Amino acid sequence: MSVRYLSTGAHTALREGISANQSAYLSGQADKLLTTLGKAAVHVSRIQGGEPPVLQIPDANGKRDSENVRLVHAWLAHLTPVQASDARLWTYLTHSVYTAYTAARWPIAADTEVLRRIRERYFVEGEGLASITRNSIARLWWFGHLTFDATRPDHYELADVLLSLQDIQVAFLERTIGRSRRILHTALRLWKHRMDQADTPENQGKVIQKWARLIRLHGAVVLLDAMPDEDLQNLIWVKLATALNEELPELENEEQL
Amino acid sequence: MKNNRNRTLPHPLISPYSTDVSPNKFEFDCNEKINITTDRDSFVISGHIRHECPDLDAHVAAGSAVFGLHVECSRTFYRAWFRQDGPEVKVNLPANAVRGRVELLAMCIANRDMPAYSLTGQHADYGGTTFEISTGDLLAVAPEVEFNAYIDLDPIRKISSILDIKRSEDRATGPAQIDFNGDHIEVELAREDYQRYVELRQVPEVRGQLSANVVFPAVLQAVNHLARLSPGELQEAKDNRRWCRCLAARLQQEKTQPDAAPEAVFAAVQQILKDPVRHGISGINDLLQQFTGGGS
Repeated sequence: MSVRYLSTGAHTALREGISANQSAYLSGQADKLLTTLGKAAVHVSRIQGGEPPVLQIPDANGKRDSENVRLVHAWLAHLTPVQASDARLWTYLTHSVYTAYTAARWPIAADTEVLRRIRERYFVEGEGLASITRNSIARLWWFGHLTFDATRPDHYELADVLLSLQDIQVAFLERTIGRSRRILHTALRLWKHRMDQADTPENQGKVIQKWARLIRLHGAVVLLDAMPDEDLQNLIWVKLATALNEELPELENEEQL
Repeated sequence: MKNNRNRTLPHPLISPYSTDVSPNKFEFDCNEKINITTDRDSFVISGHIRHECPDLDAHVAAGSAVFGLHVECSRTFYRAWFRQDGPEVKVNLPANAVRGRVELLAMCIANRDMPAYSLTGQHADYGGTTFEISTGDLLAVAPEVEFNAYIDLDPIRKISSILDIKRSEDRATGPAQIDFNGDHIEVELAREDYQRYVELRQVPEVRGQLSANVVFPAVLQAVNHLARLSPGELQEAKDNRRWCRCLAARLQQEKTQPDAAPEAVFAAVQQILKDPVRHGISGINDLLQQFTGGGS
């Protein structure tokens, strides 16, 4: 089965109609909007994929992002980053098979900034890192893609670390250091290592922000991408110690992390 | 990563924005129109790092420093370092990894620790000071160069997005005409034909036949047009006309050059248009079955 996506005209029509169609979004019926645009609104791509997986709806047990990252990324495992940067694909999904999921995971109250929230969760606004990780489905795929590590028993283990704290997503993915898979994976591994060893620090959000800032500042002097793996890992570990204001033990070899 | 202002580092940095070292020339000579081309799977970036610091060359020759190109694309979370053997830069960037604005930053970085680094021409304020340099430290950075990774290489885009079928302003009847000089291939139909075309394309069973009758010959002729261009003209056409870039890239995906044997081009274009002849015949057959009640 080929993956479907919106025609450019349909995509534009939906974007321009957000204000007029608010009630459909607020009532969780964004998929009805697509049916009014006719058959020509949806194109069939060359991208092969099976049936779209049924996503876990958030419930009392949690938001279920961890399971859903695995489902979406495994479904679209062959998507290239260029294809995954196309707003028409994600906008189609939030207005069709994943309308109910989007409404449940990102409910929009009528008294909030409704238009902005619709744009963020149902569309892909802008070209920055932040925009693609706010669409309700694109973020699941990109989190899976950016953290996928075939060398670990659970390939998506680092996705769980990324999902564990909003501040990690903001501090790393919305900054250029997050574009480097080596830096991102090293940071996530080390954060998990620290969390496995000791209690959660107070103000962990602030610690993460400071940690990411220290890494970025160092990256203005040194090309982090060119550092050997061990040196990069030690550097990021030392910066974490500084951010925590703690004496951290020296790292053992990388295999054990 | 950007380099558009002075940076204060713990050691002298060669950069046009800095007075740490004189002369401070360090540039990446790379013109988007000339030095960045596409092949089947990648953007090919070539250029030359130009500077006037003999000490830097000496460090590179000794293996203690290395030139390279840092590449970032915000839209696809792409970031990579391409180490080079010298000031000549040649990088093949995967076409499926970057889209939209791509930032290129040429650099020279330390390839190993240097306990007593100094440069001839470093600012008088430094005097004869030497610096402790670690592997990866930035020694020289050029102003960034940007290019736009063509979004029309997007493989999910339909080929019909590069072809316009338009109504003639001045001819009520007459043969179809074609124009290859714009961003789109333009097929102009006489007014009567255009009106019929608009009506017929509403009928699903006829769309395949319309594609076989109008789109297929137009794209075949477009390939013929590309085949007649010299390599220089072809590059210019790809630089300036979107349909050329897109069609050339799609032909390459089919492992076919525009000047390939006519039989190969005939097959490749059918592949690109997803079998227009077969769909045309099938559509007519479906239509006949409707009229004859199923017997054909």
